[in-house]
Amino acid sequence: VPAYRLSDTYSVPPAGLTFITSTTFSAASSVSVDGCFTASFTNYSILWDSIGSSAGNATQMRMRASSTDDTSANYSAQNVQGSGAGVTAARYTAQTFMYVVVNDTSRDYAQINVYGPNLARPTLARTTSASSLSSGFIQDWVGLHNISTAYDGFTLYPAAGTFTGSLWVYGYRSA
Amino acid sequence: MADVVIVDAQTGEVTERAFTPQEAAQRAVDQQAAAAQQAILDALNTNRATLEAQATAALAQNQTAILANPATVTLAQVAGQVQALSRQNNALIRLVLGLLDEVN
Repeated sequence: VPAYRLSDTYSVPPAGLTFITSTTFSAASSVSVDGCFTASFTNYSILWDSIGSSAGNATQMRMRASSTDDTSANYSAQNVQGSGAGVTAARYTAQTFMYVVVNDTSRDYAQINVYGPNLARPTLARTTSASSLSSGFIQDWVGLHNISTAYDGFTLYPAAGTFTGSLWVYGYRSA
Repeated sequence: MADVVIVDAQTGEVTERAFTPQEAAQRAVDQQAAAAQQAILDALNTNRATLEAQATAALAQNQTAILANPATVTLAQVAGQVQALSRQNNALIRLVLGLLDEVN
């Protein structure tokens, strides 16, 4: 069965996880997706696969509307990470982005669930990641964008350097 | 290689281009902020490692105190051990509460 796309003309998309768009990028400083958050779905999943150009960085996310990133200091984030026997946690407030996943020279995968981005209420994102950093590295994040505005897209970018990889965006359709 | 990759989910069109001057300025601000935040995180991680190393060393120090003969322990040794235990408690409190701004 071919994947449903927003440009297709089905009267009702199939239930379940519905493919919206995907892209690949090479040595990019940022990747933006416009028009992926719509009234068709409430919640979304972004699958992320990347390798960074430099060590010790994070991949960060901003909400986007009408092709413009929201760079206001209205983001916060909480993480739990595990490396070896150590488990640590940290909270970041009044940020201009939300952290979503490690960005290192390792291969980093993540599933970023985004809750209600196209609704006029604060957006939450929950990331679970799998990194090959240090022979296996866990980093989970909750990100909050505390603005009651509807957004139609997002930007992911490395804190420093560039990244190379792919992303896929899906919508959760309940019925 | 492109600074910016933009995907239009409605049309499937992909645009690759260099930063605009405004985006380049924002990028510079972002990188400066990220570097400052990373410096703070590095300092906290260094302090955490120091406290954990002190805790490991304290195991051996305390074992020596435990095995000491009470009949021959001096007042100065008792006072020294009380100070050592207080330092160890502070270190544990800092690790538990995540107060890693210093190691004392």
